[in-house]
Amino acid sequence: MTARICIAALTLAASLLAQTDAWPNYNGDYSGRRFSPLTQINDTNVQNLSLAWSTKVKNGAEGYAVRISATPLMVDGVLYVTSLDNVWAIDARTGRELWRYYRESKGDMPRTGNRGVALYGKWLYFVTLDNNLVSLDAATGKQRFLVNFADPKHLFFSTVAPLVIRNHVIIATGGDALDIPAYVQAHDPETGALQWKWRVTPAPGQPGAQTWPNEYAASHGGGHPWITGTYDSDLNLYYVGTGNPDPVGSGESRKGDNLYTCSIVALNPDTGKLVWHFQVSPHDTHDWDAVQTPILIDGTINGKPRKLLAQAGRNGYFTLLDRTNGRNLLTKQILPTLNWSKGLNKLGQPIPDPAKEPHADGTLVSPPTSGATNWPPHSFSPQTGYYYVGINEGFSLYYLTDPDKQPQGFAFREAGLGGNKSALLAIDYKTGKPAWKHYWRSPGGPNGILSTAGNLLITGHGSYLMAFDAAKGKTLWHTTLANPLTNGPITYTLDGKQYIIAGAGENLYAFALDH
Amino acid sequence: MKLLFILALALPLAAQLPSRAAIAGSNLDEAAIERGGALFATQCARCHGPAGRGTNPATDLIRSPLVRREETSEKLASHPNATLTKPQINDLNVWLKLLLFSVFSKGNQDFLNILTGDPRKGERFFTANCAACHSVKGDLAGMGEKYDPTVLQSLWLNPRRAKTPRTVTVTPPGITGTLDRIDEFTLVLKNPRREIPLNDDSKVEIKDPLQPHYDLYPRLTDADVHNVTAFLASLK
Repeated sequence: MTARICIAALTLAASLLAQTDAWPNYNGDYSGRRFSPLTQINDTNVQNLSLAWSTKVKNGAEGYAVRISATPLMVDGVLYVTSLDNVWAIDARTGRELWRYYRESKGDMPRTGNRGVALYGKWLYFVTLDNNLVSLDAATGKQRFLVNFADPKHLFFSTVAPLVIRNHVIIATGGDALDIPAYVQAHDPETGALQWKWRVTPAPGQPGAQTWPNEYAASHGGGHPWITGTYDSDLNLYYVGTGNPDPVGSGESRKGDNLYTCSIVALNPDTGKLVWHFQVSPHDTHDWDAVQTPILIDGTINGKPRKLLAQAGRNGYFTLLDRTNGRNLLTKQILPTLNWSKGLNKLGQPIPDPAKEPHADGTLVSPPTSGATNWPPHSFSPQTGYYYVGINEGFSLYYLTDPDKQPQGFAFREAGLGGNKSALLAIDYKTGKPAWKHYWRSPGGPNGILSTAGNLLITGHGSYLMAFDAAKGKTLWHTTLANPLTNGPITYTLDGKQYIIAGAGENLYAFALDH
Repeated sequence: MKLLFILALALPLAAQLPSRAAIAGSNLDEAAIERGGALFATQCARCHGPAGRGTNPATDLIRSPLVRREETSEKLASHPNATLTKPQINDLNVWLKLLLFSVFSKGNQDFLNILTGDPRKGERFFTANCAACHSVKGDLAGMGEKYDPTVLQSLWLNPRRAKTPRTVTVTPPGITGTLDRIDEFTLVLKNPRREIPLNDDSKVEIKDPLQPHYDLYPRLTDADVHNVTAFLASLK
């Protein structure tokens, strides 16, 4: 690979225009739309889509199954994909493994996923579960540096795909089990040295500190932003969604809104300074983080071009903001069964109903803790003007298990109920109303989504990988995978051919038109 | 069980730590847990609190990373206010691990008392909404004896499926049968066994005997839930 091509990829990624011969970062570009302008595969020929290759990635260790929840990068004919503790470089023409990097994470944290790598020149970046930022030579997989950025003994664990903005490698902490503070931070791409660190919960005297009873509660308040954010190069703002407050499920020791948890925040990527925020769930007690990708939309509202940001949240609401200042333009309930809020306040935020917090004898709440939706990537198509998201309509019983005035860790427990319905939903971004809704015949998901200028929406359900008519919501094509889709599908052209790549469990699939 | 006695000793107020669910789920040595718990109650709880959450100025053992470091044993060995042998330190380490596991491990928390409802109101709700299909002398006889209240509460809201076959009609071709399984593109019937491909235009109507339970959720108040549970728990 040449550095020239990578730098070209980075420059292009800096604009909202998607690049077509690469997938250079987590969302394919900085906008988070996961929309490709490619049209070679389209709604008239998608029925001829067939398998170009598939490969089963090999785990570096025995003992647990690989699950590709990472979005692969594809640059210059090489795919880079990860799972917990593993990075693979795969020949995008054949599916053959070029190299593998493996490093076992140590500690008591749960064995969760990894969302992928970032690329800067000839260097790759990824985080280990035990909180190391690792840089690898993209050509060989040889480790260049490893820098620890959070202590696994505190039960921090990291899964985020880094994002490179100029000379900043932006990462964040994860781990909401033991009431630890959460951070977004930037590291030097050459040395791994820390450039800045922003704590999600404010220190005493800072704006937002008044939304916590005291510094002790704030510094144990969590809010881990464990999904990669988005970036507007004109405004020089990095947008990221933050996680739920800790302790989880009880607000007893943290009365107040608990800023900046469950929020969309805009940070200056050069300094880590907070520029604006919008809290989508004040004082969360249901484990509904707001880490879902804040998608950047260059849209039109009342005839005027606007710089917008949209997020369909785990809490069951669709939020549309002015991304220059964070002002709310629209909040719309997208989950019909939602029952935890008393409506919206004048800022456009849901008002949590205290009666629907977890109680010792059980509280019947929709959605369940897994949320109306979750981390699997959503998509926005500027062609249709629709925001696409997988949702779950269901109820759970939420039981408070820790009645202490100073609860710790998980202070509640969930009992799932039956009769859940799942759907693929297209939302008109201007109104928040459903443009179309496809109820799945069996519950499950949500799964990752990709949309393209070929009027296609690619996603999965059950073990099917499917293509929909993005405008109308009709099923156009499907195939059966060995496992359900576990990542966000991507697309690009290579040698003049458009490919669609999907990860399912330990398998990676490449589809192209049958000639 | 002896362990429960120790729990009662160590945790007069904070019922939540360590949870029985954590003891079952942690894979820690039960004998060491018993010894460590007894030791904690007599040697540590006075300052660090019955659940290890600390008192001013004694350290919160749950949120402190101290208890998760290799040097924990050294700290314990040189503790200014306790004299501990090496085997005792090992037992205490096990107990601390358990306290911690009870906190950070999702789903390993114990339920508190959930029987707060009014059984008479629950009975009225039952008569109005449930009695068409269920009888307290028939299928529900003795429910309160058979099940723990938490299980009971989940069970009446979301009954097990085993004995309740779903009938399905699919058009085209216009066939009715018993549902085996369904996904986006395939419907499988049993009796007679048939596999029917589905597309966007297939009309599938499923008659699920459990559906009336799911249909209740949006209109149930939490008081309804607790009252019905209290009523069912009273069916001895």
